[in-house]
Amino acid sequence: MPPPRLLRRFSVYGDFWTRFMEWGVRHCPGWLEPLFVGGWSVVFFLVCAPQRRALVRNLRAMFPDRPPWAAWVGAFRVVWNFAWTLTDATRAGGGQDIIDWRIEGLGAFRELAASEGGGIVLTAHMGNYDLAAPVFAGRFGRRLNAVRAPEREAELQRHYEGRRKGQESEAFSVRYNAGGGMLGVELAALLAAGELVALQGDRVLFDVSPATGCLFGGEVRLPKGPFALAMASGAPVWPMFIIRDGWRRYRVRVCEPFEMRGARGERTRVMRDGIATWCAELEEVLRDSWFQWFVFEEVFTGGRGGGR
Amino acid sequence: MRADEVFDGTPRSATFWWIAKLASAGGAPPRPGVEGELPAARRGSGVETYALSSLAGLALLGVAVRWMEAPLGGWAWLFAVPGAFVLLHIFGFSWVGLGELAQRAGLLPPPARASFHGVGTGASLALAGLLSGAPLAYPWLAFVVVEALAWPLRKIWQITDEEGA
Repeated sequence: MPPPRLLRRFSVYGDFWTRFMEWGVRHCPGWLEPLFVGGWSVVFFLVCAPQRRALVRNLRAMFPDRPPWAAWVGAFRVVWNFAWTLTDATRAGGGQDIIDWRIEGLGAFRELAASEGGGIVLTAHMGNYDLAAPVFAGRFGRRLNAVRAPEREAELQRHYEGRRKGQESEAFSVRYNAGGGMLGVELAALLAAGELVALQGDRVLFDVSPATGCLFGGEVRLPKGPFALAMASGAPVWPMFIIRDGWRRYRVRVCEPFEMRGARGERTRVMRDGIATWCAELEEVLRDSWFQWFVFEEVFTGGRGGGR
Repeated sequence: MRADEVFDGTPRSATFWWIAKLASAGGAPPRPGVEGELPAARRGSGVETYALSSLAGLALLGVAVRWMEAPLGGWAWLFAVPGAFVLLHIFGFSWVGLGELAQRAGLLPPPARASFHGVGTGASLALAGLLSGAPLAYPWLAFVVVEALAWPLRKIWQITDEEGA
């Protein structure tokens, strides 16, 4: 029997902790912020056992040569960085201009801004993707539609929807992959209308169709949707990552685009090649910034190699 | 009104503002706009924040250990970190609550709330340190006193700067 609704609000996926954190950030003297962030990171690291185990297993699969304790320290670094990105997002979301942005891959960024027609921005759960999208959306000359998985708890979903409504503009909108199977059609229509669609390509949540890729020599489950959309629409895919470089400093890394086109009989190969290209880009970023990969589920399936 | 929107919108204490002002002989140089970079208007200083936070953390640890030593003896060290974390919340919540009440009563203007929280939390920490004989109490008290004096002085300096410009 699921726990009562009131209790679920206090779970790690509930809205209580998010609201509490946002209230704390608003009222906390800035010079005490590292103490609060550090302390709560420890609390969540200790309490959230399934997420901690998943982080440790992912890190062990990524770096099998490192000693076991390094994966535990690494898992804490992921939680610590996640806490900082949430804190920064809360401050910036409240209207404070406190974040330095830097673009890596300026050529690709300019190419994306100058390009016409639809395009898919493929990103990962890193840094502060929630924050970067509204900041840079105005530079692309067309609307950027960010697609998000809904939160597990309805209260938290309502809370975030309200917060994100304030970020929406003519240049930026948020859509939720709430099931029903119509999102793909909607996104294809947006791409055909020449708009940009931002999707996350590193995490399979809920009933999203999975595909298999290869990261760090291991088999991983990735969402199939972004690649199927790229094939169906013919739109170019721009891998883009948001990386936290330090104290209130973030970097947007824009990679060269790739396309997923091919004849009808080549669909399997095109899909495999597209996933392999994405995995190569993701792995390159994760090799240096693994401690910012905010994936709290196991992504490695245990197999070795291959992309399908 | 957000507490920290007014105090430059960044975690910058008045003490460090004065240090930066004096060290740069009257003003920080503007950051040039570099292509591919989008600088923040008020990012604050990580070094400053971590330095103050470390000092506050050590002061809290000192108070927590002193208070727990009597009932727990040597075991106090085992609970020093969680004890300090609880103390931090007690001090923090108390001053946020007092700030809210004072603001509703019209005694505290919203722009002064961040300073009120910061100085209040620091002062109660210093007082707790003095009462318990914690080792960092006096340097911490000095910081709080400087902070309490520096903020109004800083405001005067800013007004003078603006009038002179």
